[in-house]
Amino acid sequence: MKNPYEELMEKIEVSGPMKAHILTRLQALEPEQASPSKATGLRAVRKYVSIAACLAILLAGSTVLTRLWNHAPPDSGPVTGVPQFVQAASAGELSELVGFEVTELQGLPFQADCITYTAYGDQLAEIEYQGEEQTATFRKSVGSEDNFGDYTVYGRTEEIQIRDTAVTLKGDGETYALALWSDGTYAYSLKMTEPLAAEAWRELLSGMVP
Amino acid sequence: MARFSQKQGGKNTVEAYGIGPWQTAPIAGGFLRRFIAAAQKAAALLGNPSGDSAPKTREAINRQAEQILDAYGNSILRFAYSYLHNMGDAEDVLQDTLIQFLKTAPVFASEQHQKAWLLRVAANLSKNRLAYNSVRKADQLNDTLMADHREDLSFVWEAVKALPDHLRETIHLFYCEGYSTREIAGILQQKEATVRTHLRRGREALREILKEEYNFEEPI
Repeated sequence: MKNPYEELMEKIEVSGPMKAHILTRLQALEPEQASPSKATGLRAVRKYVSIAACLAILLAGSTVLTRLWNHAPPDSGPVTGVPQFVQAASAGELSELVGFEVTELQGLPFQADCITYTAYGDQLAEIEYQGEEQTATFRKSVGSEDNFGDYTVYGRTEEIQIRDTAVTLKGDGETYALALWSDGTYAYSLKMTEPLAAEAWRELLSGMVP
Repeated sequence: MARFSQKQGGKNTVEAYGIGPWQTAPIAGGFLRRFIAAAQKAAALLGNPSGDSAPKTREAINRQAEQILDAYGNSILRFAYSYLHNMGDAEDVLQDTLIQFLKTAPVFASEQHQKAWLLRVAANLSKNRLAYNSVRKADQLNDTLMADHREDLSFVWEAVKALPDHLRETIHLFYCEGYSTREIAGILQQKEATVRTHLRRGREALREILKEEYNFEEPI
């Protein structure tokens, strides 16, 4: 039987969007930044070579004994699949990568100069629209939980109804920067760097929300 | 080892990630473990006499990071949350712990050793963050517990949150991760006697707050 502390801590877990978020940020590192530091050079090599030479017989004996002590060695098995963070050229290509349909946003309140399509494995699709002075980031993922990974504390939350769908708006003051909704199968989020009033969100989302 | 497999949802990390018996063989005694670790490092250096480690490809970084996240992500996140009480900060510590792991590339004699190393790094990063930024943001765990109508667990969490950091970290490792006082001493780099004292004081403080409603008494 679990103790209550263990039970409450189980509410904390690495969700799919969090995992994708972390791995995305690691992607921003240059491979050299995430690689082991250079070894200490020849002096280290000599030191470890000497140790290895002295221990050669001991290690051989240890290995033999270890294999005898172990159970049958497990099969190496396949390494778990690596989610590829793949850029796509279009919403159509993005849909093929993630395995579900992702459509372009219509009716954004600015002209997008650059559109980026990113697939995070087969769980999460993202389209980022970059304008001259603002950006809109749209995400669609399998499931119904918040997929934006935005832990910003917003001062205000409002729920609006668009047809049969409840949309949660988050922001501060009279405007909202983030909208979250779900159709029961997929979760959606849209983040605007320039927050909008609730009515503007209603107008924007009326073409997207079922 | 079986305990950790169960904690990770029944997944045997050896089978999942193809770690051979060399890395997971039970090794008695720290002396032999250190020499074998040194020999592994020597073998790696012998294969690359310049001493330089080839820069990893992005794919290799992703693969390694994902393996750590799958195996230990929850434990690291929960431990960080126990210090910081905020999901955003805890996620940052999880990411920074991963970066430390990728940059340092330590050699481990066992999975237990690897997990203990990761938790030690997470603890240090969390404490640094506490020292740097003492302003707490929203506590999402408490919000979740209240939304789930688990006021009983919220009560427990508030009691644990109220503990000083040095007592709370011991309580977390003992009751959430199931470590012994000896293992906790290794992770936190403290004497085992100190850990026992912290555990006793933590329990006393919790008993005072929770008023016997929840029994945290277990043999140490």
